[in-house]
Amino acid sequence: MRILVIEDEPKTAEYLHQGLTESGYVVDHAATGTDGLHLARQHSYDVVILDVNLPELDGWGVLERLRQSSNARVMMLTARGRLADKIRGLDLGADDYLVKPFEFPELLARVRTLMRRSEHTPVPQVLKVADLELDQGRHRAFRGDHRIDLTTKEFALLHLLMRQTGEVLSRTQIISLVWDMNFDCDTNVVEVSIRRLRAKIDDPYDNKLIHTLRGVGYVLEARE
Amino acid sequence: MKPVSLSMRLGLTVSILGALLVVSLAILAFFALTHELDTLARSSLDKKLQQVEQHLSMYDDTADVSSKPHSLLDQVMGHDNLNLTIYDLTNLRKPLLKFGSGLSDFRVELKEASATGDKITYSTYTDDEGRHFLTASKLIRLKNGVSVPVLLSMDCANDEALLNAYLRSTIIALPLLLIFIGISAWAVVQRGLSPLREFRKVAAMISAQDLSHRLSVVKMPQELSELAHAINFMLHRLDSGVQQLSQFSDDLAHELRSPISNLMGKAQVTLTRERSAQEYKTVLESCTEELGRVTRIVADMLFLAQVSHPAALVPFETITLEDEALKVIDLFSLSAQEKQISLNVTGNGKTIGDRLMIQRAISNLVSNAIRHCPAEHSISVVIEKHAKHISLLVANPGPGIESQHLLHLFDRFYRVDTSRSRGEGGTGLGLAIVRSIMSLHQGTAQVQSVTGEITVFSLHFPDIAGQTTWQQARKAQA
Repeated sequence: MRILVIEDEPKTAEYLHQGLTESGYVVDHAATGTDGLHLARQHSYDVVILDVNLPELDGWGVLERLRQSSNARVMMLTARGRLADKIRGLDLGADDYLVKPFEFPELLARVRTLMRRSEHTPVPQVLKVADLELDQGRHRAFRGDHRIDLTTKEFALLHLLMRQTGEVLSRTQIISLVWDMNFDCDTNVVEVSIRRLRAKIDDPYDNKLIHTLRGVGYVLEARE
Repeated sequence: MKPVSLSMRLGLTVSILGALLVVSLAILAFFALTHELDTLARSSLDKKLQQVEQHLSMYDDTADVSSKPHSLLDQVMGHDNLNLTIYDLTNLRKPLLKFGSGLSDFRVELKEASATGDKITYSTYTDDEGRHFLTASKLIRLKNGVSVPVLLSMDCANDEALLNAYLRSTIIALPLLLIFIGISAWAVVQRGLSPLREFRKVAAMISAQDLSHRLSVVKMPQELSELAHAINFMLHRLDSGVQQLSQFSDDLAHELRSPISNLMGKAQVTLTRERSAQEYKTVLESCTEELGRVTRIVADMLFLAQVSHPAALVPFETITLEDEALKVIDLFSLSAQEKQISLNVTGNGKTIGDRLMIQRAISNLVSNAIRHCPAEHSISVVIEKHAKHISLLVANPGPGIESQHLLHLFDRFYRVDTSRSRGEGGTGLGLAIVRSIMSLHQGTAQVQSVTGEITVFSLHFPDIAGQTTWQQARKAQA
């Protein structure tokens, strides 16, 4: 899985490089539009992360030229969140569009989505992490042999965390995917829900599955 | 071509119109006068001729006329401009009687005399000296039955003199009159427009730094005072806008300064000595949280900028308000449960708008309500249909908001209790966002509060019909 980051801001480039490498991707970096285009034409990348404000050749220009020869998935990064800019980006053939400032987990999640877009892996009926089982069809959860009663929202939240096991989900992502609210709400609903879910699936057991990454988000995974 | 000054143009126009008016009046008066003088002359000739006829009818024969003309001459005596001539039809060579200096041309008189009939006929004649004569002629029967032609003519010199005097005085007075009219018009306009200098003076003084100058509307003509009022009002709005903007950037800098200095300080303190990995981790975590706040402020600011000046047309759709309210309530129900607050939605209504924005507005209000509602109380969301609009009210019991804050509540970064809400993670932009969203929807956001009892925030959406036309207008504009 190879990613090209075209970004002139050294600090942004540095943490994107580090974050993506640590998430298991092979990352190349270009600091100008021309260099980026050159690299993108020489190698085949799965995803290109493209900043709009670039020296020499800006992001729109890179995107336009890139689209003539490559099918790589392109994610635009920009400080401008205007609808017109978004539409322009998507019209030019960008696959995704992320406005700065963004949260790294969200970028990661979107990169994963872009990677997955081609392959259709159906979500299995029964999800399993360690001894936690979630049966979507029958709407039931088990920890070992114990059946756990969950409310609808708790079930949706657990389903999301298990489906994305090992991936960090930010508060905003969770609100968007479980409550279908696509803006930054001033609420502690995620904290409360996670606390309640923990009380049901983690607290009575030694092997804790839901982990909080303070300042980042939540992840459900089996840790030794 | 340089445009001519308004007062000059008006002065000229008024002069030309005045000239047309005066000249046409003069011409009209001239013809009326001429006609009237002519009629007068004829009627006086007519009268005279009747008198002459009366006397002449008492004469026995033509010889009598030439021998005793006195009673006839008495009739025309004393009238310098009258000439009386009487002929004998049998001998036209020599008149029976001739009085007055006029009509020296014998042949003309002869022609008149021979053409005379029983009825009065009038004719005009100009002699060699340029004098005009009006002549009335008639055949008059003497006692012996013989008819003699009588010619009574009048010298029109007096009438002409009158007409000439009239024409002369008109021609002399006309230019003077026109100059007077023109100058008066010019002066009136000059005077009327003189307040424009005031406009220029104020305009020269105004800049982005100083918008405080206003036009004085005292003694201004009504048209200009209306304009001055409009300009003053515009200046007032600009002034408050600019003040708000500078206040806003002050506030923004202030809002961002504290989290940034926290971050800076924390990082510097941490770096002053070696620490355990765990400690570094804690610092990073706390930094991330603080940065989260900065990010939220920036994101809210961007959103506000976007809503206040939408670069592209936001596509509107039909929104069922109770559905959106229920969705928001669903999101907040857990937080409310924690405080044992119950949430309920009543009423229903539809409007058109942007779903995300309306959700966000409702969510901001509900989140505030939960924050300020005391435990074990209930918050109600009520949707009401009115004649002209649809309202969505969010009411919560609680300490309420003092009236001096109500006016500023929707301002950016305005906080009733500075320390508290910042601690609870608010950006201070929530209600400003609500107001911007409502104004994008052609609606309004309002608040009412009874201290110690209840606080009600309300969103007023225009009715769908009104909005549809507005939306069409927006599309047409775009």
